[in-house]
Amino acid sequence: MFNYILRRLLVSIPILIGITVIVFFIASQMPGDAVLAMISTDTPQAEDLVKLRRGQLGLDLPIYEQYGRWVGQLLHGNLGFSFQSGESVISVIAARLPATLELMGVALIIAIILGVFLGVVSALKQYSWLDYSFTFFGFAGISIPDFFLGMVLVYVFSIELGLLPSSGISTAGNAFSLSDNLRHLILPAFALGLARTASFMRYTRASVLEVMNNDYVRTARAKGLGERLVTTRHILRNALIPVVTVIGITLPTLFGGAVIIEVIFQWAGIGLMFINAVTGRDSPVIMGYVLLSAVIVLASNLITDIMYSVLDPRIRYD
Amino acid sequence: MTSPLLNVQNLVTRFYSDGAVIHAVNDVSFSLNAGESMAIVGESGSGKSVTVMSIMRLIRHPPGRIEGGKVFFEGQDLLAISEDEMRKIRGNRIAMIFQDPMTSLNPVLSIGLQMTESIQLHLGLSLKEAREKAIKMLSLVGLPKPQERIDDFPFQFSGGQRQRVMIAMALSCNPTLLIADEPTTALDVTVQAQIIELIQGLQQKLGMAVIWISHNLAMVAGVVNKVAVMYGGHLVEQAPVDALYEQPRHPYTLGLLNAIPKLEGRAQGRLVAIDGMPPDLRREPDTCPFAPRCIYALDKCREALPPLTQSAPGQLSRCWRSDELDQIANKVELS
Repeated sequence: MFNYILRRLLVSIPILIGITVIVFFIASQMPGDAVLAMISTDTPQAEDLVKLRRGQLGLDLPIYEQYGRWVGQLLHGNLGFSFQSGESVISVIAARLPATLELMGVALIIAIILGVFLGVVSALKQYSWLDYSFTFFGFAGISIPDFFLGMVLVYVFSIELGLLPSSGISTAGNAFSLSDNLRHLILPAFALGLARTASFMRYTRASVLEVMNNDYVRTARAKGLGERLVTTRHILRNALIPVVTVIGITLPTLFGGAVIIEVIFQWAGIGLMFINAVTGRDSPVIMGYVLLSAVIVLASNLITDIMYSVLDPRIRYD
Repeated sequence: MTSPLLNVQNLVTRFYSDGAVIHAVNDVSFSLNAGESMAIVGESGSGKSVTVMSIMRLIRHPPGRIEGGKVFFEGQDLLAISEDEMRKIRGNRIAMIFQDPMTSLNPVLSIGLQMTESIQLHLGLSLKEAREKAIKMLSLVGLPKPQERIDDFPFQFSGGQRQRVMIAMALSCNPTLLIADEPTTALDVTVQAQIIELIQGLQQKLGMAVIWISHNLAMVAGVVNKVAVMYGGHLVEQAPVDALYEQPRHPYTLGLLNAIPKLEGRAQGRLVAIDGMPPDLRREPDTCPFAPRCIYALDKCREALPPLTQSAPGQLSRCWRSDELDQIANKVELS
């Protein structure tokens, strides 16, 4: 197992390099650059100023050289400095990451608990009105985009009902309090989590239905076990194996989905930082974000595999 | 005479699917004494498995439902008791082993857990005691090094070993009735004989009754006291094993016997197949199910279902011509 993880980590290195190369060159092809984003070209001295600033930031170098500099910094554990604010990218990310992880984590927990529970109920009550209505909401949940759902939630719960705040991490001007923060978290977390809830529910339902008809479930009943034990120990344990894979695949989409949700709800996380960096052509910050998301994708694949082997002894012993 | 261990009376099980009614088990009756062994023989879809699943009340509803009859086991009608009471009998007084040991064990749970969960439930033992009991059972069924293997997972065993584990699991609560639903069908031929011998040996040692479900009349011949033959959801013949072989009283049984390969006997040495297709179980069970394939069928057979009548001592048959079958069969063979 240890060797397996080590091997996976080593394989990740060339993948990471490949990702950064591709993104760096694509980002360089965007129209405009960080300097043009900051300096108006209408002023008479603009041309000199732009030239000067480009020279300072190294933007006048050939693109491969810029990449080489960036990698050189990276190897020293430095992600560079924001073109816009001059802060180190690592500290920008470190300041923003907890809010994103909070949003992602809560959305994921909502999606897993609700999705698996509703999926199991749906399968056990197959073809009942409950199953049909869950199926309906499942398809609705999968089909409605995050941002639209987010706006609907804001409209209903903030504007119409006035129950929950529509944006921000906490109420401006007040001292930070957890309960205030959680009140702000509810809407974005549901906006991000519900689509995943729907997909987890559909996968769980399908998986439970398949496992339910297995011979070993009949064996469990023939041994005189009660339905609860048959469901939790014999059906669910097997049915969750494919669901874990789906959860693993979902993690990166959650990270990507958080970008849009953070913009809608002005949730001061990594996603909002990324959007600002893109509009400002702030390539060190863009690259920092890309590197982080690549690491998250690779890490969630690895976690999925490890979870898989925990649940399925046939894989553990190979 | 003491009352039988198991007495099935007029059992009716139907399945409902897409508006059609599938008459899986029609008016099946038989009984079995303690320690006795019998076989239920028939082709796929004849209702033999549904019959025993009905006895265990393991028919899933929907689509299936037990719609009539009584199943007396140790004096109690299993179809009349609550699900909770039934659960105390399943895996405890009546145990079952299944056709495919590859799929009948849960792949993600250790065999130790799968064995102890029912031992703890039925015998009220602690986990430690249940483990000891499980190890004892595993060595009883001839699994080598049971102490080391109890925490292994099903995929770490061969097919024959898995079936041994299934048997150990089934017998761990000392059932008085074991139902073996084609326990050797999925196994290699060499392993088949070992498993049959194992079950026979354990039956003698532990004194339980055994119902063998099989489609192989030849296999069960040396194993059981009596045979029930099922066809199209009906019990068409029931007899002591010798009588059934010497003088079958139903054309289907006769056909089955003729389909068994023999080393000597018939001059041509060719197997005689039963022509035609298995019956459609959606038809109303009010005529002889075998009539469309039966070379001895009369108009009467297509009009009314013959009753299950005694044609010789201990031998029951559901055929209008059961008494004359041996004569007409000889005649057909000569012509």
